[in-house]
Amino acid sequence: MTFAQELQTIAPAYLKLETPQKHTRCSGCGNYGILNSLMEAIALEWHAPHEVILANDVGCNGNVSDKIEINTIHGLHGRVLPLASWIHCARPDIPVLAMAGDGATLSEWINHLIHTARNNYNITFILHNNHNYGLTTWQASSTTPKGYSMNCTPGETNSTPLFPAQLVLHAWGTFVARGYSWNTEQLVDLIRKWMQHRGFSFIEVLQLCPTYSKATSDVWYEQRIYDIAQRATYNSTDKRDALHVVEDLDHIATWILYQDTTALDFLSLQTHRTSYTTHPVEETQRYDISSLLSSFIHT
Amino acid sequence: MTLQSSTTRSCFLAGESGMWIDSSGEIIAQALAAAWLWCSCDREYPSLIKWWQSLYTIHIGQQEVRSRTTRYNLGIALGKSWLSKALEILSPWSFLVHNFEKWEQPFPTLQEDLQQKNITLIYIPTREILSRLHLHLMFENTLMIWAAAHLLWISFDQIQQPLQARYGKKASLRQQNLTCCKIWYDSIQQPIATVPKPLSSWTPRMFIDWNTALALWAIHAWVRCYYAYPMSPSSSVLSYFAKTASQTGIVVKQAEDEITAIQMNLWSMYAGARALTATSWGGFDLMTETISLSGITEVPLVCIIAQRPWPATGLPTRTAQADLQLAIYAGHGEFSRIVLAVSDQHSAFHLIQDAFDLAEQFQVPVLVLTEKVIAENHRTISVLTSRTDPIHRHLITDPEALQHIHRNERYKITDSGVSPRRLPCSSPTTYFCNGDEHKEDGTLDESEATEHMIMKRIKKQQAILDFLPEPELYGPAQADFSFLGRWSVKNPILDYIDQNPSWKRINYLHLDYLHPLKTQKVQTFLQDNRHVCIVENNATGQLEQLLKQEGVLIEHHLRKRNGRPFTLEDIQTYVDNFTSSPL
Repeated sequence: MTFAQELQTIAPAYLKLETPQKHTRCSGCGNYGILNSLMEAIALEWHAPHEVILANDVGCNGNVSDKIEINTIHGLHGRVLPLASWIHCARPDIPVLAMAGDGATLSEWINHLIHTARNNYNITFILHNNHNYGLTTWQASSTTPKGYSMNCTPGETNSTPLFPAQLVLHAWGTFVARGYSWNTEQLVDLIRKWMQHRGFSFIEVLQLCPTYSKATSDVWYEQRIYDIAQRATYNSTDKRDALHVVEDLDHIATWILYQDTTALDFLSLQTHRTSYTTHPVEETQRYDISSLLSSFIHT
Repeated sequence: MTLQSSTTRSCFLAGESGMWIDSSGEIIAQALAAAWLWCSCDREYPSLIKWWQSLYTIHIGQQEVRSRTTRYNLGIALGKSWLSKALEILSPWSFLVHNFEKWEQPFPTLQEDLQQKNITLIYIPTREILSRLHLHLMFENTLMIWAAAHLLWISFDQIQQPLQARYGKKASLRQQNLTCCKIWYDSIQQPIATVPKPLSSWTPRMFIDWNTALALWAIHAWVRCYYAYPMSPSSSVLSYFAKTASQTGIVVKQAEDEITAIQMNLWSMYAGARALTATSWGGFDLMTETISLSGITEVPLVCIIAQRPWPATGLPTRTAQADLQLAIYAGHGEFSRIVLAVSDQHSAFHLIQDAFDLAEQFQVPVLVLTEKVIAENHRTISVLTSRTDPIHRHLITDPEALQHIHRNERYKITDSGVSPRRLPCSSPTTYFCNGDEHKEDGTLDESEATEHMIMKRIKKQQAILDFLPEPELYGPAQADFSFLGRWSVKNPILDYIDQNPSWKRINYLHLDYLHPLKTQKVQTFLQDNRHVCIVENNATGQLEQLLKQEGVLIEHHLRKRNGRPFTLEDIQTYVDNFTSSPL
């Protein structure tokens, strides 16, 4: 079945995910592509969308929190990763997706990204990387290249930009992928690929910001991006290959850059819970502490 | 040679941090419980890592002992630095055990000082004994401690059990400890000093520290997730959860920082588990934006704050009650919350479950405050096993109702401000949990009508106030002398009432629920009593200020600001000064 045919079959499910809320983003914003991809992936994968949780950070991405008919959360700036990870740990039977921008993820509390990656929580994280702070009107982010003239930076940007995918690879991330906000077909597949990955799925979406990031326009991206799957010699299980391609801004690789299929996710490593078939929410009931108490009682 | 008989006795083990003073003190206290005596034990130690003056105090009685006294009858000085200090804090007619061979040299007036206070010095030649036994010098303090146990009328059998429990896993250590212990008991046939005589009958008691008790009661109150970043004096809660995880199966995680810990906590609660975190003051500062988030999203939250003194790093290992107003005002914006104050192991039993019940009933953040002297206090208490009252989580669980629930229900504006709560994914009707201002269905809203939603959240405060119990009165309704307080001040005051022959003239009003503050019973208490004194361990009288805001004026106050807890003598002195001055 072609992608178009597949879409046809999911049209009713997709339409159910729409809400009557007005979309409030700029024309041409990459978020439309991301939201569409997300809705398509959900319509394709989950027949009970009320059993999916989407967590949003603060920023342009966060505006979807009432524009998709699943359980959504709009949390605090920079905190979406522990938020999503620990809904997952309390309810591991429910798929949890998280989204945040480059400001939230790489400036507000970069700590969360590193620890979520090294703990390998079984969630999907979509990083909206538009290389600037859009919501607060055009300030530099940690991914803004050097030499840009921005609001709130005297002269030009002069700090070395971070490469988020590189950071996650170094922090022992087990699934590192890259997409482009207008390549929705690939993005849908990437989000669905998470279903087969047990652990932290990091998807960096190169996102257009037509209002502010004029230097990285759709034309700029389309001259540079390519699908790494087309490179026959590329081995996505080799971290060295992945580290090599993530820094290249002249030829921007997309699709799965690295995947470790052998690593265990956080909950699988909780050896003291291996005999449990229930999750903490189901277990929330009166616990008999008499055996614990006995060591403190003197008769 | 016997100690004067009395109902309560106090002893201290003094040394330097790193000398196993706490573990030794705990073994002695456990043996005292096995010997059918009540005790209350505190630690007073520096934040400097090693080789600085550190104290473990044991207060022993024939009835419940709650607080610390400054009148010590027996001192065990393990470090040289303690010899002169020990003389300062020992009462007249007391005993000091030491192993400092040439003690006369640095203290030329020592003999005179000893005579003046009638202190008997007991020298134990630890080096000599150890060389005879071919044991390492690290057992010097061990030898001293078993000597102390013997002096405290603890039998060899009674000390054996806690010793085995502590060192049982390390066979060589246990054996050497036993050798030290046995030598002492074999060499001296009769104890040379007595403490209160063990009781002739004894119903089973618990000897437990507050942090552990809290963890236990929390597990009992359905907590299945515990997350924290270690910070004194709350860290041992995390240790206990981690240590028992293989038995309880609880999800325990040492978070990367406090911000993460409170986020983990809030969102596990959102998912439907009961989750807990504990921290101390600076850690709580980092958590405050999540308190706000709990306020606006109406996701219940329970967080424990173990107070320690003063700004920044302050006095990290000491005690204070200076974070009440922080707890009440922490977080941006206006919303309802509850602040509870735990005063001892007993109140932890009730309040930690109340904290969860209240958080879920009113869908607000609940902050449970304690302080260092409570958190680390080990005490003999009567056995508390289980609360039998049912837990109501105030969730919609009826499948039929969940099937047809309207999406506006989740943040519905009601008279009490409390809306029906359901767990995410429990109903085909989804809901948006928005940290931005929202309508009843959770969709974003920035219209002027948001006022109704803001007022709905604030209105809950009145519903909470109506629901909370009144402060608890100890002693008669009317007395000549009255105290009012919360947290650890309850302990020396109740001990004072118990031990004072004229106790009927004194009463105490104790506040467990500090915010929202119920003032009616406080008002009545003020009307009924001539001299009411509010006791607080902080510099500015934070509770006194809060009462003043509510129009309740209290004439007298007793405050402490040196990072140390109130003692029995602080209360005694205050009463004596008052009663000796003309009215």
